[in-house]
Amino acid sequence: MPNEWGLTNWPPTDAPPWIDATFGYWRALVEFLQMEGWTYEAPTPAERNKWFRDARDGDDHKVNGIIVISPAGVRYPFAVCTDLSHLELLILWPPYSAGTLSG
Amino acid sequence: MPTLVRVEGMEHQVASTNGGATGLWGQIVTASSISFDTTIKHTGLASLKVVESGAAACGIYPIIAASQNVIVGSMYIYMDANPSVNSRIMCSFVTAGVGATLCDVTTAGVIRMQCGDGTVQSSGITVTDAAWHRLDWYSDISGATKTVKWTVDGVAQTDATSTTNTATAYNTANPALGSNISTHTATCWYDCLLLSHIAADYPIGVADGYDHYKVLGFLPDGAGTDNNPSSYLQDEAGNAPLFSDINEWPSEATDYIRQITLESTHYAEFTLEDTTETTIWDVQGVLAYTSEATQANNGTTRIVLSDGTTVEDIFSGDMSDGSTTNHFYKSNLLTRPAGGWTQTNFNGSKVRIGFATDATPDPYWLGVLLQVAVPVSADTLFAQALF
Repeated sequence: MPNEWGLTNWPPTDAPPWIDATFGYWRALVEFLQMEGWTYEAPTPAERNKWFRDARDGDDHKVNGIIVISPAGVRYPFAVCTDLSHLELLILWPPYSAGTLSG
Repeated sequence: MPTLVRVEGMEHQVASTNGGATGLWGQIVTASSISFDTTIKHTGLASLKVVESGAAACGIYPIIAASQNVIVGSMYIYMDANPSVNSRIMCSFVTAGVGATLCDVTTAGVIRMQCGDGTVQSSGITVTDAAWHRLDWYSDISGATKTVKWTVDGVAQTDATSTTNTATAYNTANPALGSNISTHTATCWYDCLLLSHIAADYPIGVADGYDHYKVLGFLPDGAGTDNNPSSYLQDEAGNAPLFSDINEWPSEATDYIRQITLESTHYAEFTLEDTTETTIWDVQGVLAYTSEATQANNGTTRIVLSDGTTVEDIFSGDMSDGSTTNHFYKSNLLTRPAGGWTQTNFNGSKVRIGFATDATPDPYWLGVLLQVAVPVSADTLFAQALF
């Protein structure tokens, strides 16, 4: 059932609390992560099962997960919907969606 | 006249990244450190206050266009106490490397500048005296040597340079007002921020004979001539829309205007507060909005001249970023009317809202604001020339 943001099972309630920082759009987020030395990995099977399996964006698209890793080693889930014309990014702070990269 | 890309008077008193790349702010770090002050301010209604915690990076970042390698900035800063450690109050970043603009205030209250890992250049000027100081800077990372020219209260300082960084474009969330260093402890007020990407604009307005400027806020203040025959534009209670529904900042949702049925030619029109200023550089439109629900819709917020000629839309597009829980924002430096802004054409300007071709769910308009950059009389410069 979509929540007030139109998203289903997002944000994950058991994800690590996001740092006290918000970003208005994809590029600002990526620039920050690169500048501050964050890295990324594919989710482990356990993470995929826990955080991404049932998540849906505002158009009920399935998502692919990615784990963004802080310099301190904390693993934060982010998700991108699988619709190539849409590519909605699901984030961990309100409004929990950074909108679409294209489409 | 400077070619500005951003006029930021902090008049909206909003610290939010909601609204994306055309919103108000690109990045906010440690939101609790950021507030707006309606008592200590340079001009207008409010200033931005950043209280660095000493425990986490604290800052708020405006948005610039991608691939820019020149930032010309000007703003007024106010500090009333020395930080306990040398602390950053403004910085510009690149994705990797050290070609950034780093403006710090020392424990003695002296403002200084560094370009990346280059030599720190001190101004010798104390800025922690509970007075407003004008800071101008010109950062150029286009060449092998990165250069920051800077001016404090109109006094040119020694350039800060660096040769070690290879980056040639700034991040799009720039410049930071605050610090990227967690241990910093400055408390600084910021007001009247202007940005340009034209080197010749540095220091902003001085080439035109102005040594100061201000940024003022203007709100809807009366009814215009609506094109709303079917009452598709209405307030939150279903009544005729009023200017008072969209003139509160920071934005609130106790009253608002919504379009309940699509009609691309229907709008509500409101007059805007007049100015007594006779020279106007630029006008930045700000919109606060939300939506009945998160499915796609659209709407337009348009500034027009007295004869109805469109100046530019503050925003036209999908207003469904979120439901009423959160507010969203758009900010757009309006294209100058033919011949530029004048007191006459500014005072005749009106705002029109509506024009939705998809009003399911209803788009909501919460607030409209114009932030206006105007130069201050050149009397001081004239006096300096005489004496």
